[in-house]
Amino acid sequence: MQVIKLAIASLLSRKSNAILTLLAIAISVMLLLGVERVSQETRTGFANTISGTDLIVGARSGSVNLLLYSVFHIGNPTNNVSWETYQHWANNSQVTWSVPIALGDSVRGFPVVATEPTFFEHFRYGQQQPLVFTSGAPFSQENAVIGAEVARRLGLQLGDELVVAHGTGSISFHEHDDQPLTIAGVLARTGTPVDQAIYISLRDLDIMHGGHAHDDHGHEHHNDEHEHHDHHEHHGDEHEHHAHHSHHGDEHEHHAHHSHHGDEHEHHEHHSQHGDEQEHHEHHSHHGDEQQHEQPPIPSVSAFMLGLQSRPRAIFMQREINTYRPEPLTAIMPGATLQDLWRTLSGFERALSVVSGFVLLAGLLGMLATILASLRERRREMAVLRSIGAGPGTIFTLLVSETVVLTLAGIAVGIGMLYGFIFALAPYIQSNFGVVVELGGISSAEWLRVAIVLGAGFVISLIPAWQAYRNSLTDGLSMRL
Amino acid sequence: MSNWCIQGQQLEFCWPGNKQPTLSIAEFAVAKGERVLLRGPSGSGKSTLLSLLAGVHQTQSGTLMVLDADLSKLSQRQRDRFRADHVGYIFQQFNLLPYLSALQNVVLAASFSKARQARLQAQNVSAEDESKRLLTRLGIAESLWHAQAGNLSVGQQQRVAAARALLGAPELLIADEPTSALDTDARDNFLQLLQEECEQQNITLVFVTHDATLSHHFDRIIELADMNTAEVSHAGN
Repeated sequence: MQVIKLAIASLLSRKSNAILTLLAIAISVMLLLGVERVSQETRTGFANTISGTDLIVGARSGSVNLLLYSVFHIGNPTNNVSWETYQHWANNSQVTWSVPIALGDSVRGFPVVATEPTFFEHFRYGQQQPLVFTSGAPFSQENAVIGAEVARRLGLQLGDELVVAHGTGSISFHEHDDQPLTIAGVLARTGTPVDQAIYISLRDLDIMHGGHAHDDHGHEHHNDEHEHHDHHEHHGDEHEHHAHHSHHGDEHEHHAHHSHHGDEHEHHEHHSQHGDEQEHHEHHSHHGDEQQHEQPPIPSVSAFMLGLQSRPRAIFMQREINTYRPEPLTAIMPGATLQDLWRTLSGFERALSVVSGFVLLAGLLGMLATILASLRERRREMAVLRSIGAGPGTIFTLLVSETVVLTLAGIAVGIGMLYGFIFALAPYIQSNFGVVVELGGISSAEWLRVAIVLGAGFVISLIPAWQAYRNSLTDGLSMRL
Repeated sequence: MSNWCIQGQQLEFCWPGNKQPTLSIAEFAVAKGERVLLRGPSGSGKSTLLSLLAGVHQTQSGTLMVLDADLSKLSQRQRDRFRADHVGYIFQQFNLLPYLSALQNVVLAASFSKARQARLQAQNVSAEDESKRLLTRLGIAESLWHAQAGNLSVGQQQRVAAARALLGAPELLIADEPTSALDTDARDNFLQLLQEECEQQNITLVFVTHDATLSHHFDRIIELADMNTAEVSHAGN
């Protein structure tokens, strides 16, 4: 105890050196723990972004790419899925629910997700948590629902109007300002990309892009292929071609399906779904648009989410969808793909850990240099301690204590700085990267890193301690001035 | 119990790396309660003798009895304990830990020795109270007790060092030219206080100096150069 008091008093007498050394260690501790913390939070954030969805289906592409644009709203779909294909799978006997989404537009940098109101019913995140409205309700026609972060950042609330812009940049040269949408609902914070998104109906998106509307819109959609255009300038997809004709023939869309598939079973499914669709059509007819009466809300979607009767069937269903002939599709199980995605990112995490490890090493070497340099001027002090009965062992302990006290203080300050930074930067990190970093306690992985720092500090301390031990043996009581 | 505080025979010490011994003394003895002036020019093996007496180094031949312990037979650790318990030591200069207060420096002497604590307890006085008494006795004003030792004048530092060496009444006090950095007035004052305190507590004093004017303060004067038969270089003289 006495020795530790001496060590602290001695450190305080060399305050500026001690503080600089301490800061170097504090910074490396902060980095070490910060990297661990952020990657931990990112990992849980990742795992929590979506749950309860068994399959996500999009046009043929890489599975990570599909996950990125459908769940994280990062990047763009390479291709779209026709409404008929969506209907085909939505009506599969294994499927209990399905939600289509169409992407590509944004509001001041926040992605717009066109979907159906059932999205709010079926989407789950974290531990099967449903979406909750802080105000309002799911959208209907010409309405929008916004995520918590969108509401906060853009200062929007229930009843406000917003204008959707074409494309996904934060600055757009093309706004659909002739179709402003009213905010019908604001979602509670989830800590997932849902917070950053704006949800509108598929029909509104289609109308904005000129589909089914009869006004003479002079929009030039140069960046994005639009299904509206596709109807006129056919890309070689035969299936869609047929579908297109069937729309104009004012037939029910599932009739078109029948012409492609002689599957009796699916036929029945279609009829059982019929009731639902009738409702849909009635809903549309309120708008008095006769022409659109029997048409799908949008000719094609970016992706769709499926919930299955039995989860274990997902893998068979996935294979079935991946080998679907009329249109090339990719189906992913979100959980598995999230893990794949995390694995690609973990290399980056490891690199950061290695860098912060080297920062720690630099900090410890700085401490070693400072203490070794101080030994020269402290030989007198050692002789005094020896004269009042301190053995070389006590001198050794004193030096070890000094270094360990310095390391401990560095760790404490480092943790303090970490929490300070988290407190200050968490909102920024969340709004920019969608990662929620919590002010929680120190995890066991973090304690492990703290222990490594302390252990390294102790090992480093043995060097000056050994040096002082040997000095005190040879110097004895003589003062080398 | 002998009447001797120090009894050394055939003492020899050779620093590692040197071919010739620095110290070679046939006989050296100091009686209990005696106040001895040890005189010798630098290079005469003075520091070496003192470090043998304090038990920091060990004689390489012969025996060295200090009080009732044979320092030539004790281990390093035992000698450190012995020094903490029975020997007070005052350096020429820089006696104090500069980052502790004057009072903390004095109290520190007791914290390394259970024997000194026990002796203080026997007198029914705490280490801190005794430190304060000694500081007062040696003329350190209360206002300076909590000052950082590094901020005291050289004379004050030496008196604080004397207080520390005397705390808990060690049987032997070794002072290595403690007055050489002091002016004449301060020197006489310091010496007188030290003598009085030694007498009062029956402490044996081995006082090293090359200042001839101090002779009259002591019972006996030992010329180290006469005693040490080792071939030492007198280059410094």
